[in-house]
Amino acid sequence: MSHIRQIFTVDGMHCASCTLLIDEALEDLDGVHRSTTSLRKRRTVVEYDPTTCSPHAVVAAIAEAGYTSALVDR
Amino acid sequence: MNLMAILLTGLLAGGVSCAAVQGGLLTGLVARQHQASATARGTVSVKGRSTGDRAAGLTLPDAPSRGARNRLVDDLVPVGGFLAGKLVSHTILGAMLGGIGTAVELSAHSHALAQVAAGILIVLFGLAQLEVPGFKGFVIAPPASWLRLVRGRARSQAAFAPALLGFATVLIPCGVTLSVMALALTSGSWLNGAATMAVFVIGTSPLFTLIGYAALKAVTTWKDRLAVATGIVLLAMGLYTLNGGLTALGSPLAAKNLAVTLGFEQAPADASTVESAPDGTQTVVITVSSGYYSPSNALLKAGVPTQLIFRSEDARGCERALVIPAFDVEQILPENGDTVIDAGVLEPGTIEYSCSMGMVSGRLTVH
Repeated sequence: MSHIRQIFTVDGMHCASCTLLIDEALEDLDGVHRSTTSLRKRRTVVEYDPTTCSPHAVVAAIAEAGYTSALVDR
Repeated sequence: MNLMAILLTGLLAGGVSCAAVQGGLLTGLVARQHQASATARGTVSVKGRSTGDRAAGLTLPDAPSRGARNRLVDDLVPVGGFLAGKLVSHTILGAMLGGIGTAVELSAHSHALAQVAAGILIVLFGLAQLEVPGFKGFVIAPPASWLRLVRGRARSQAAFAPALLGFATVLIPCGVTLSVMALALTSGSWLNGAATMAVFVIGTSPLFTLIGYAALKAVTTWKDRLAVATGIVLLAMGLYTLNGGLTALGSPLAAKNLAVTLGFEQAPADASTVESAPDGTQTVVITVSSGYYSPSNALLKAGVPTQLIFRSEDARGCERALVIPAFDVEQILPENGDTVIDAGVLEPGTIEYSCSMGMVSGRLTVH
């Protein structure tokens, strides 16, 4: 299984608990290998399997947790 | 800051902001435990569930045969464990902060300066919470190792994992909690520090329980508005703390002195408790009771030897910790009885005094 690594901006975080909540929500998604959210940089780095997960699913899971996010074009 | 104000802060701001995020962590933990036990029975896969399960509250339909009462107990036990763990760790931290604050405290002056710094810090957290341009980036992020430690607790399958997660949340304080920690640091003793943090966590409990149990979804929907409410509460708390510090310093920027600083009329000075002796000396009696000094503005004559008598009458609050910066006086007054302070010959002007936290204050007007 090959993973890709993508960066998403995240708005609405106020404390470290928010970063944990987002990482928990993302790593519960099918296909997500690892999520690392930074409060200071206001972004999350997600490693996932593109055959079972998508940027849309990542953004939707973050929205479900109560935050707004967008894929950073590279 | 008195404990009732801390309780209200917990109730209004802490309950909302902490519940929204830490409630989510607890809900995820319980959901994961429920599903792991279901997996053990061979019914559900752990990974791949919808995040909607988390957002809908703690209850998961893994035991349809049980009654609603049992499910309620199932849901409240982890919440209770989480809050108990959180209460223990925060109370211990509060005691440590209060103790450190007392150990390094050199004088009432440095204490007041620390209080001013705490007030400014809390105001900054409030502005960051309100996402005011220029302050948005003011966040204190804990080290990655602390985050990993808390995450480990959130993924534990142990029966007492909720309590451990609650205990570990002391490592990931939100802006409100950091602000209360700053207050604990300037609270004056380890006991006051412990009480400050304990009362705050207790204040957060009702909303946390409610939200953790039923309404995380509603909180995420209302998150932006709640963040604004939390920011406003933080700003108010910061300004109140800052003003207390400025009052204790006798600063012209303290709220009670601003009117005078800006040239407005001040409260009339009261000479009713001043007695002049035949030898030309004067004595003023200032009554010290719960929450006030009376008269709050005593009128004295300049150029004559003066004695101040602080008469405690059932004084039980912080007004007992009397600070008069102009005379370099820092004294704990008795609950009842007189404390005599020789003020020497006074120059015309005003002399400010207050409790060490600056929450109760008075003035001597000398003409």
